[in-house]
Amino acid sequence: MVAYSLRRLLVTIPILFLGLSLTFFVIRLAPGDPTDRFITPSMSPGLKENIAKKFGIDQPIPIQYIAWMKSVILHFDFGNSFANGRNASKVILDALPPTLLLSTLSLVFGLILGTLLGAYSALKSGSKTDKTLTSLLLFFYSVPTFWLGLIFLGFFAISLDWLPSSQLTSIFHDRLGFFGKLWDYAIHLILPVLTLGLTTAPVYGRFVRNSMIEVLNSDFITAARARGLSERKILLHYGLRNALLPVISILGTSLPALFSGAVVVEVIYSLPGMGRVMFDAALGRDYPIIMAASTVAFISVIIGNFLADVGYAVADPRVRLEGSN
Amino acid sequence: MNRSLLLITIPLLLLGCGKSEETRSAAQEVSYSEEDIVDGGNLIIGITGEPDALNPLTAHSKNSKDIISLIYRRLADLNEDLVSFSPQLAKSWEFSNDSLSITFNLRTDVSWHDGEKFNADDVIFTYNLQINETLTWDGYSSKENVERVVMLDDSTVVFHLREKSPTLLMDAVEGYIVPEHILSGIPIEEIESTDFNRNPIGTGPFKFVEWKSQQSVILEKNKNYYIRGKPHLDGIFFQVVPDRINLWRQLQSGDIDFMEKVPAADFKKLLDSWERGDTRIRPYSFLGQFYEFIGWNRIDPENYARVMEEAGDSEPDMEELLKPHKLFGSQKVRAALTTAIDRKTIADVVTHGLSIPMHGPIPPVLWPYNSTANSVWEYDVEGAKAILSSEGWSDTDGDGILDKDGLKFSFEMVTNAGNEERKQALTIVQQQLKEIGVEMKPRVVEHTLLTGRMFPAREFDAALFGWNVGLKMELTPLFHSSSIFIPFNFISYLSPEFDMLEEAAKRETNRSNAQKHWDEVAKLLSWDLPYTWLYYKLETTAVHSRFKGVKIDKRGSFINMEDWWIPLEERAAHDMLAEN
Repeated sequence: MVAYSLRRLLVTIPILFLGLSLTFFVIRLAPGDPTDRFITPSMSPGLKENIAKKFGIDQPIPIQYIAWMKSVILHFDFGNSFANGRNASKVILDALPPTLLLSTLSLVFGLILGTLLGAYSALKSGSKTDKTLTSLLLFFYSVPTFWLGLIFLGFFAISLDWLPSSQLTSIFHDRLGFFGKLWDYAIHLILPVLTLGLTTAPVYGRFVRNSMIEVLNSDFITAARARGLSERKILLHYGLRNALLPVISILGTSLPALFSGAVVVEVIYSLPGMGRVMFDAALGRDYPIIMAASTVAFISVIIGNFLADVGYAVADPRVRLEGSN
Repeated sequence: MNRSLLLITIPLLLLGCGKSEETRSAAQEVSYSEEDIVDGGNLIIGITGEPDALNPLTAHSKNSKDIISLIYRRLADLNEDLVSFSPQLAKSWEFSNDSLSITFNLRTDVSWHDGEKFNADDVIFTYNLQINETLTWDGYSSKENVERVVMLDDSTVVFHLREKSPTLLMDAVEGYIVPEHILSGIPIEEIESTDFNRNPIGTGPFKFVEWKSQQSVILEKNKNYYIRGKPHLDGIFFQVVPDRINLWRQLQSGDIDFMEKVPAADFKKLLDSWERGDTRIRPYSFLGQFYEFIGWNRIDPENYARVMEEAGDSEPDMEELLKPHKLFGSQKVRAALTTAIDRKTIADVVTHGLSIPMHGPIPPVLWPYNSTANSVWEYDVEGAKAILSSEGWSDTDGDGILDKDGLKFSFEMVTNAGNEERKQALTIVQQQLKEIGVEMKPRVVEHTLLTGRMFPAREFDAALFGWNVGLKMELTPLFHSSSIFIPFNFISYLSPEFDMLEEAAKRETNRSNAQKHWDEVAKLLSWDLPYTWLYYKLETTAVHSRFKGVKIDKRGSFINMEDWWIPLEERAAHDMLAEN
């Protein structure tokens, strides 16, 4: 198992290298000049060149690439933000916790909701309830995250004024007691988690439903029923347990989707996470931040896939054998 | 956000600290005297983006500058007349007889927020950083006329100038003074990434407390401020809410107390509500510093690209480089297009009337503005058609678009994405030009992409754009021939007559003589029409009316926050919480 995991990890290194290199060239070749943000009528004529020199973008792109690679590989340094001079890694590290919090809560919420709906739908297979639930899941599967976010924002935060419309905490958060802080986080996170969770749930719901139907129609379930086991035990112990096993594989691969969904949700609800950092960096052509954020995104994709592979290998030993062969 | 405030409010109400929010109209406003002023309370300001830095030398965004204006002080502050100054860190100043130097007598009772004494070293040190090109201080040009700054003693500095100028004092006091004792130990190339950018130390009425990335910036009262008894507020909180609609909602719900740039339609409603006495949010509108215009590319963009490429690293042949644009090279054509555009309709529709139609290059906020100096091109569709006809443009093939020598009068007008007002204006201009047989194809381009095409490459026909002007009269970067390769003269305007008039106006130290020159400049440009000026925008700010002593004028909304105060009976929940 350890050898299998190491092998899988080794394979990811060139993928990461390739992905980041591609990103580097794409953003450098994209139109737009990062020094434009500094242009003011009172600047001296040579200042623009000075800024370009300071950022190292006056050099040919291959030279910039080599310098960037050296800095990242040898020092794990992505450079300083063009916008505010802060170290890019520090900016990303500051923005990562809110994104992880949002993604994790949304994943848990989506997984629980999807599993419950999927399992219930499978039990009522073919009935009106099944069709309604399937349609509902299909709706949330198809609906764009930004659209759902804007609807929730407009309705619950702006029209009804029930929940906060932006930020992760209120301005006096630090002055609240422990439970006050928890409640403050909770009310700020309800809408973002609902938005992201509802668009994540259908992925698991549809998967669990189909898997559950297949399991419930299996011979061993028929055998279990024949042995007189209670329906509850059959459903929970045999049905749901077996149906959930394949979910492990999509759990890992859904991480990148969750990450990109979080970007959209953070922009809509003004959460201080990676999404807003990436959004602002892309608009301002802040190369160091774009590259640092892309690295995190790539790593999350790779970790997601790795976890999916390992998880599946744990669940199904045949995978390891195939891997060994 | 209301729910979170509820959490805060309930215990306070139980303790009897909270005050009910009764509606009070403009007519019911109580007048207060100096004796009524009580200290305490907090101001929450909603901003749409976080600052880029809180160091006056490295910050560029408006949000940064607003916060910086509360933390730092200059030698002197510009008064509302935009000509005279009030003392700040300098208690007085004297001009030399030849007007080539100014001696500033500095205050000796000023301390930095960390307790160190402010002195002349800080002024000299700041000046040396301001003129250092490694930094990107955006007031750089104001110091170009300063030859050197010398210290006579701990509280006296002299600014020596290269030549006489009517803006001697304005240039000398431009920029906030930074602490020498902190920044002198940092290599110049590291100043933009130093911790000081996020942990500033100033001499202003408010001290920096905390900056939560993408969330908020918190300032507290500087108890040792050199003007005794000020500031009155305990703290100022900047809450980042990137979406303006959200910001507006939070202002209405009381989550924030202050917002700038209220969308025009909302501002109109607020104004009505305030006049009816239905709201406690007070609207303020004032002459701002922003105008919108259409810039006509005077040169042929394809020819420009070709000549520049052929020249490579060598100097291009200027005559060849600046070959006139096929359409807009002619003043008559620019005049016809200007005449065909109904500025008033555009201003009314786009800004809901919160703007002034503009006809010339001098913004109404600046002292040389003279509405009678401009050549006014009134809206006249038939007149526009006649001018184009006299220039040989006619619709020979009957397709509704004018043509001349096989060239159709069709062009692209660009503007930046993310600005709904400009998009709307672009559509109206398109319709109006269509009426005279001119095909204008609107194109909305992402901002950085647009400036990349417009500024260095001159790759555009016409652009609907806007400038934020400074409070100093200055047209050189926009129209002077010396700025032909500087991004702001992106329409490539070249006029020896303009150069001469503007240089004379800038040299003149006598106000009325200078006015005559500026009038000539206005007349020339409004006739020559490198731009079709559209409208000058009014700024729209809203502040909760519990704040007293508020002064907002054409210098902005942040000019006297140390004077703001809140009567005890009008304190809100967040004023009380901050005191706990």
